[in-house]
Order: sequence, then structure tokens, then C-alpha cells
Amino acid sequence: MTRPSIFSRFLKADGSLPLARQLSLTLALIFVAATLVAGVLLHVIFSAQASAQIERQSQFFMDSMLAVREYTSRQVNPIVAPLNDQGTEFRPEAVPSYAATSVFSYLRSNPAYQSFSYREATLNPTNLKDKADGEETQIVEAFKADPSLKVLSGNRTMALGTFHYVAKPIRITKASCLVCHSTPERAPKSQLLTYGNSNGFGWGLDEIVGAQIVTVPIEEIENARHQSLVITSGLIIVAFTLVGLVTNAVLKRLILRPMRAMSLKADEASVTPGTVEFGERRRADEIGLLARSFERMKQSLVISMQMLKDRQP
Amino acid sequence: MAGDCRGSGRVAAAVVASVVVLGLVVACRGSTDSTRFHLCGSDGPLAIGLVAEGEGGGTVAAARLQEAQLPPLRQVLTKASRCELALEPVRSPELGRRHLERGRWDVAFLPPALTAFALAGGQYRAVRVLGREAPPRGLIVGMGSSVLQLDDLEGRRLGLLPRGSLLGFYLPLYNLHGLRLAKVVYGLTFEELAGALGRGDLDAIAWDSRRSLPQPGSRVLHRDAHRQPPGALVVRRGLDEGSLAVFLATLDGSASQLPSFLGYDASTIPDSQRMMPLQRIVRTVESWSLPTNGAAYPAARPAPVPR
Repeated sequence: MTRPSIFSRFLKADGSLPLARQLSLTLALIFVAATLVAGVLLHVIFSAQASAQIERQSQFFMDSMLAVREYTSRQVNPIVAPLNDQGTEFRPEAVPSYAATSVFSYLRSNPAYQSFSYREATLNPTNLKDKADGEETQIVEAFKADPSLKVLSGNRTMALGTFHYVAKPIRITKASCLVCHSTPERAPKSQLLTYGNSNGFGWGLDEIVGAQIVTVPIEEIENARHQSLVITSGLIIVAFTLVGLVTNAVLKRLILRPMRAMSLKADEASVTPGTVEFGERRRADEIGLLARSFERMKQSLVISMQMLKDRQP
Repeated sequence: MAGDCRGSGRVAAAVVASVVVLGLVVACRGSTDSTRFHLCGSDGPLAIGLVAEGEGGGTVAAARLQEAQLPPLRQVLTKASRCELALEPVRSPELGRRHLERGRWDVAFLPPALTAFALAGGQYRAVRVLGREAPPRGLIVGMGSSVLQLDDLEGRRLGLLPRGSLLGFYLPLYNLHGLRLAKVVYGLTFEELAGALGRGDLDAIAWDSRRSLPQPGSRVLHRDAHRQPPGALVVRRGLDEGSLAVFLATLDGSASQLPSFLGYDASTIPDSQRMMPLQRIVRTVESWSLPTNGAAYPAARPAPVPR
């Protein structure tokens, strides 16, 4: 006699439990195992997906800001820059990086983008607000060291926590940029009065002077992953629950209820077989087959009982 | 039969309970956002302005020195505010004045005139003293100048610091009100103005009397009688008071780590009374049409100064 496995013992597959409970236990076990496996797999998949989505969004932001810079450079600068040669008030609206950072700050007022942060970190900026810090300087230097490098991404640890960043180089491709950034002598007087003559000069054509950097708190990525994980796990749990309930209902309706009815009839047939009829024999399934067997057994019992009765004096 | 129903019912109940627990976990995770610190700007970063450089004293070397002190300052400010920072050090008081006028900074380290400007606008209040009270300043003229008193500047050429400077802009214009100047030229630093004076491009320039005279033969034409109160750390009205108190307490505790050029005076609240005369001057001058670089000023004879 073979020993029952742990699985069988746990499920009470030795017949010591009713079928409905055995089925429920089996489904619960499958459910737990499937949820665990799915949870681990989904964790990995959603981590990759959340990171990819953040990177896609970051790239989109940077491309949008490049478009804003291009628009400012081509269409706004020619109109506004001459104003900076007159008077004392410098109009930053003529500057592509000012336009890009301003547009981003408006974009950021939308709660959907509030966690994103955009910087045009520059090694030698005109406005010290854009001065690259230690890690930003390393990013810019990496682009300078390898001009073929188009995008860099990774994590940065800052005072407020860990952030994921995506960066692209800022390369000076237009000679018009050098009016304000070559020497103080070429720069408009209004620029010198506003920003001074010590910063933002000495740039060269085709030089990488800084980097566009989009940062997002790591917590944001984890939140996105967590949210996807919980929603999907919730759906799996709901689906399993529905499957379990429907399976139980079907089992009861198709098997357990007819079997219990036949069992009662068989009990009755053992005493008064002539009064019992197994109506389930008209069914085409296994229950019908069983009912027909019972019916034949009942007929045999009726004949046997009649024969016994006939032999009595 | 009843036993079977109880068994499957328990499993279903366990599953439903799991769903409820997961829902609660999600709800709890979502509620952590409500602990956001209120000092941060409405669109994310805390905008901090820094116009702490001595007026008209900017040199390339000084600028480099200050740049080196910015990372530790940023670190202290981040620690104190717990916000992402948009720290904007500006060299020109004119740029600072424009940012203050538009309310673009949440917090700003300001010299006296811009403090007066910020307070006069009503959008800001001063919370800490920066620097010390300075002695009177004035105007100087070049070697061999025939200008002996202020009235002699009628029809002459004047060099000023950008709009927003107390001793280089507001006070000279206030003192010279009523005179017609042939030309007003702006320079970002005293050195720049002194160069123009030395070349004979200007007849008089604003000057910090603590400095030695730029050329032999140049002399002080006028000393302003107004005392210059210290600058101040100002904050935009409407910032959360509790968060602000934490911010200031952290700054006070880290005062020794702040750059020395700030002159941050821990726990000293500026005396608004001492700032009142300056506010009146700034408000008065700002109410006039102001000189543009290289042009005569004013185009028409001005109205009397409201005293």
C-alpha cells in the first residue's frame, strides 16, 4: 500500500472530507501558489516598466524643452534680442534656456508632473541658478569626454533622498549663442548690468557646456510599481475568488446535489424498491449512467423480492 | 451538506478579507503624500534669492570666491527647508528688484535697498538681520573737476549702479532730484564707474566712502546723511508659519556654516522702524520715471519731492 503524499494528506484526498471542501482547499492552494509566483514575476516586470515609463516621460520632457529652445532661438530671439542692446533692462525671454525652464515650471504646476524636476545644469552659466553641482558636473564632464554619448541615466543621492535622473548634453550649435557667451565685450550692456561680467563667457561653438537633466524621486518609481502591483494582484485575487465560487456552485448543481438525491433514493429503494424511481437516468452524463445502474439494481431487487415472496407458502 | 457550505464559505471569506487588507494597504500608502512640507513653492521648488554681495563691489575674484561658498549654503538651506531648492544668486540689484516685484522668490537674502523695496511692496517681511549698519556714502568727482556742489551737476554726466542699489542708485537720484543730467550711465561695479570717471566719460559717480578714492585728485563731492541699515533675510507672506519657524531655527543653529559674506545674524529680527526712512526713499524714487542707460534725465523738469 502506497503512502499518501504531503499534498494528498493536506488536501484530505483520502476521502475523509466532503468533495466540496477538498475542491475548495485545492483551489485555495493553487490560488496562494499562483499569487506568490505572479507577485514575484509582476514585481520584476513592473519595476522595469515603471523605470521605462519614467525614462520615456523624461526623454519626452527633454525633447519638448529642446523644441522650446529651438522655437525661442529661431523666432523669439530675433525679435527680443535687439531690445537688449538698447536700454538697461535685459529681457531673458530672448534666451532659449530661460524659455525652456520657464515652460517647464508651468508644466510642473500640473499635479501630474509635479514630481519631475528639470535643470539645465551648466558648468559656467550666466545665471548662477543654473550652476552645475558636484554630481551634475560629473554628468556634464562625461558628455564632454565622450561626445558620442547621447543620453545618461542613473540614480543620484541628494539631501532629500535618492533620485532617478535622465540627462542629455547641451551643445552650442548656433553662432548666435556666442553673442552673449563669448566675451563680455560682445555681450549686450543690459546683460552685463543684470548678470555681471564674470560668468557665462568663454563658450565655444560645438562645445558641450551643460546638460539637460530630468530627475524624479525614486519613491515615485516605487509608488508607480507598487500601484501597478497592487491593482494587478487585486484583479488576480478577484478572478480566483470568482473561479472558486463558480466552480463550487457548478460542482454542487451538477454533481453533489444529484448524487445526494440518488443516495436518498437508494436508501429508500433498499426498503421499498417498487416505489422509487431514478429519474436522473434520462441524463446523458455520468450521473445518468450511475442512475441507470441504480435503476437496474433496483429492478433486480424488485424481481428478487417478488421471487422470495412467491416462494413463501 | 451544511458542512461543505461552511468550508467553501470560509475560503471565500478569507479571499475577500485579503482583498480588503490589500485595499487598506493601498489607501495607507496613498495618504503619505499629505505630510508634504508647506514651505516648498506652489510649483515644487523653494525659490531662494541671494543678492548678498556688497553693492557695487563685485569683482571676478570675489564672484569665484562666492561661487565656492554656494554648495555648503545650498546644503544648509536644503536641510532647513526640506525642499528642492531653486537657489538664484544674482549679482545685479536690478535683477533682484525685478524678481521681488514679481514675487518670484519665496525667501531672499537682500541688501538694505532691496530689503526696503521688498517691504515697501508688502509681499515680504523681514525675519533676520544680514550684515551691519553702514556709514554714509556719497558721490565723487574726478581730478580737476569744476563741480563743487550738487547743484553744479546740472547738465553733467552721472554714473550710477543698477536700479535696486541703495547707495549707487536710490540715494544719488533722491539727492539730485530737481537737477537735469545730460547723461546717466550705469555700471555694475564701482570699478567700472571709476574707469569711466578716470577716462573723463563721466563727471560724477556714486561711490562707497569706505573705499579709498579711485584716482589721485578725485574727491568726495557729497556725503549722504542717511544711515544705511543692515540688509535682511526676507520671506514671502503666506508661507506656513510652523514650517518657517523650523526653517529659521535650523538656519540659526547652522549660522556658523553659512557663508561669511551673508553676514547672517542668528535670532535677530530686523527693526522695521529703522527701515522706514529708507522705504520712503525707495518708494519715492520708484514712483518717478527713471533714467535709462546713456540717456539724459529727466526729459522734463520733475515735480517737487514729497518730504
